Amino acid sequence: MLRTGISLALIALVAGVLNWGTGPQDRVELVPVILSGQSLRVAPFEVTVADWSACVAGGACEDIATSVDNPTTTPMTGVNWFDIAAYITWYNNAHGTSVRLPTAQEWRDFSRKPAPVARKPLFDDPRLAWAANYGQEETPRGPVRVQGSWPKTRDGIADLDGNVWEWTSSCAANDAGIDDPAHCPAMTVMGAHESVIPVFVRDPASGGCATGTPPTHVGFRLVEDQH
Amino acid sequence: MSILTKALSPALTRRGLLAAATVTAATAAFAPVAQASTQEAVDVAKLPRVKQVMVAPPFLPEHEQVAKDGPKVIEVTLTIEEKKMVIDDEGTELWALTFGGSVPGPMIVAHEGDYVEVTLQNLPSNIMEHNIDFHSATGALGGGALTHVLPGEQVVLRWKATKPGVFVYHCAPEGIMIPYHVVHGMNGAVMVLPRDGLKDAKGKPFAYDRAYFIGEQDFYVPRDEQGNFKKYDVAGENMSDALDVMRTLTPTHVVFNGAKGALTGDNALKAKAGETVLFIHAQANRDTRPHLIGGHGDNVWEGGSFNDVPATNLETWFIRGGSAGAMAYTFQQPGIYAYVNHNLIEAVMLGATAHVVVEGEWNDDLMMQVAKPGPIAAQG
Repeated sequence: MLRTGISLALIALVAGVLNWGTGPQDRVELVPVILSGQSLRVAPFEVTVADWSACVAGGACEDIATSVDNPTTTPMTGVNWFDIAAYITWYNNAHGTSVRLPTAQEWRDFSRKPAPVARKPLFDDPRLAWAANYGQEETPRGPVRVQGSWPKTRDGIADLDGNVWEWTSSCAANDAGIDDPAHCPAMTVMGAHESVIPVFVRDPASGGCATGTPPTHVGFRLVEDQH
Repeated sequence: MSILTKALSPALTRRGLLAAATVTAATAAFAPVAQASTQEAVDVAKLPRVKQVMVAPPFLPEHEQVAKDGPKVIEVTLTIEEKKMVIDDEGTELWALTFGGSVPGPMIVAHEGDYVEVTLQNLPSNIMEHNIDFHSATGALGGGALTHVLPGEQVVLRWKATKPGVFVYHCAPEGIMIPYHVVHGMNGAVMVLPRDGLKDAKGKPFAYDRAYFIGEQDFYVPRDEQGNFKKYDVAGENMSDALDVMRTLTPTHVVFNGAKGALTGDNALKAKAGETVLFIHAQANRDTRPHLIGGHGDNVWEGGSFNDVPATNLETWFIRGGSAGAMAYTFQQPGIYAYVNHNLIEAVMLGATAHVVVEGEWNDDLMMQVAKPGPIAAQG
């Protein structure tokens, strides 16, 4: 069953389309990506609203998806760290897989983005480091678009520069010596620029004291170690 | 019921006004009475005339803070445009009703004793009747009774700036259309400066280096069955849906200058440390409470009157719905400041946040990070 599913998905992938089925057992096919010293399989797209609904139907995820026109091709957004943990546990149980979130470094690697051009900071004074990046970061706005609306890498990984940022498994508070994700207050999220979102937050709204440029939406992408 | 009440209540509608005029004529109840005017009579025809070019907020038209010459007639044109606008970064659309194509409408600046002559144009492409009620003006419902224009019409109204201060203006056509037009963006502000300029709390002459007009707007956008904001093809099509949302008194958006993020990022306000910035904050419909995160209200004309002594060093100040107020702050530190409605739910979740990017030299005396975040030190 599992083997059949994989080969069907591979055929679909060769044809340039993803094999989306109709039942909760359908799994997304991951794309092999060779990184330095590591082989990783990466989902070409973010987890979709339909994927999420399968988890809801499986009784493992909260019914928090908003209604969209194209659930099978629309990224699932509005999810916090705990929502994703529940999804991944369910997914792995349902499919016999070991998918997980990428680390921030893995994300940087498979996004194959050139090192960001050092833009002139707004303020040079280290005492103004808290304000130095204001307005310097690319932030695509607007409603969530269907998958494939943004460029893909040469490996076929799409939508890394879109208006949906992606959770990683990297704790943003590592500097303080917190490396246990279970005790991490905020994770690094990756997208058009790197950002940080507290683990409870589903909607990274802008405004108030937040002087950085917050992500527009936040969703997630699965990876699996290549064995 | 007195004849006055009878005459005035239907007068809130246009047709009612005609009825009121009939009553007046029939009873001669309001025959003109000679009065000793408290205002010096001026031959307006002999006054110099100047055109004031309207600019979109948050900026103000070019103006003198201290009037160099005597009273003049300031000519302004306000062109009413019904236009579709995007009001947040989710792409939510609203058919805004605008003065001058912006929400809020442009600020008009005059000095006490000047005459403001407004040409109000209702574009032929519009589908609604509009008018304008100036809180800074005296009589005829703020001019509202004299300025009804249908699409393709224009009207000219002149009013004398007798009260120094900052004031709201807004559309007030009739009945339910009054709140409908106002919460679809149809409001702006007037600043009437004292001829000799502003005074601080000690009565000393007070000048500002920059001025910004923050127009706060509450929007009430209907949702569909799925909870998504609805879109409409033409202005006014949302009327019955919108009235239902308005009746809840719970806005879906509370924004500065027409859209969430209109005054942040690339559009953030700018200033330099040492500069005094005047913020004029108007809210035509609903109470609000501005606050400058990281700064203070050095001089605050909270109720909007420049005849009042400004309050000093406020942390947060109150703007009554249907009014404008002014706050001046001299920036002391560089960096980013957030200018918010300090109902923080409205600031962060509904959109009422602006940012000010301030250049300059950091002052360690006012603030410094003595130790960076690190492990908690052992307690002795």
